[in-house]
Amino acid sequence: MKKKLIINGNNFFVLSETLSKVLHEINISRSQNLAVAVNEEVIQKINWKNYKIKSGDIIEIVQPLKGG
Amino acid sequence: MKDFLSIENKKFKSRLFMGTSRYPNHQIMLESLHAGRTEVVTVAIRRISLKKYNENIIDLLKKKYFILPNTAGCYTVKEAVLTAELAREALKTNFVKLEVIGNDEDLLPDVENLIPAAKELVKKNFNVLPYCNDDPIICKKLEDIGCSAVMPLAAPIGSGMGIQNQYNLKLIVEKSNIPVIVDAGVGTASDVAIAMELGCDGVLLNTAVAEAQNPELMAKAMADAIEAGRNAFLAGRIPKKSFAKSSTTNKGKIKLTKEN
Repeated sequence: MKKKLIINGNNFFVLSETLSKVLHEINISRSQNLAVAVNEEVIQKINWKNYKIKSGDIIEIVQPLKGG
Repeated sequence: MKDFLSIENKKFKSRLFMGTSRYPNHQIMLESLHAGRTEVVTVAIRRISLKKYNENIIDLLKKKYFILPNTAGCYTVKEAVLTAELAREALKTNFVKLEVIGNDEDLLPDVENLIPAAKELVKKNFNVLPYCNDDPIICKKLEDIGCSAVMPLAAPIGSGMGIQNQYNLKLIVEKSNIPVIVDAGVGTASDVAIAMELGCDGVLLNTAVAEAQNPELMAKAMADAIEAGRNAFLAGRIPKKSFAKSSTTNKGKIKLTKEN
């Protein structure tokens, strides 16, 4: 069953069960210098493999960018 | 004898911190950071694009510079704290330049939210460098709650107006036991020199270099100004007097006997 997620403000429908699989499913291959929060909680990279996502989860995937 | 800038466990030879935004291109940014002789650069934390290629600025910078993330664009305590936590996860540093602003027009700090955000981040073991008003009372409160430095503005971000209140900055420096790093509003080299002559420990700037007509040359000017201002401060200037005092003795002056 597909789960509805909001990732970086956009709706996604995914089949994956875990956070790392979701990232792979939406074509995010690089993990270096990325950070992820699910429902306003930062999920450390070591836990991506085990973190189970649920329908309705709100995910933010960020990176460092030019800034002052 | 080396004159280092110490913040928590970090020691920097250069007292100039530089931002990475608003440059015409990456090449000019890298050349300017090099010419500025900086050791610390700031970055923002933003969503990756899920559709197009994401350029990775960090790989260009991390070998040469200490990367200090900011919480630019945050208006609430929650936003700022979450952004800082994401920054820590992405960059593996406890250092964060905390920005909590009141509106997107003048980008001035919102002290009402800045202080609780700083408190919460200190509790979570961050080394907090808060961007704040040039208000001696606020700076003391930020120090008292455990911030690692204070970053009072010279003038609004990107305005280039230079230090607006030297008196306040001097008060902040006099009362502070943590480093005072002027951040925001610097326009040209003399602004930097003045900040250092007032006794500030460093300066963070971005637009003044990135949008100068010759960023690389301006970066060099800023680096020279930081050193000049710092040396002038350490050298101990003469006091300002309202009357003149001749530099030359009157002894041995010639005397005319005939009047014309």
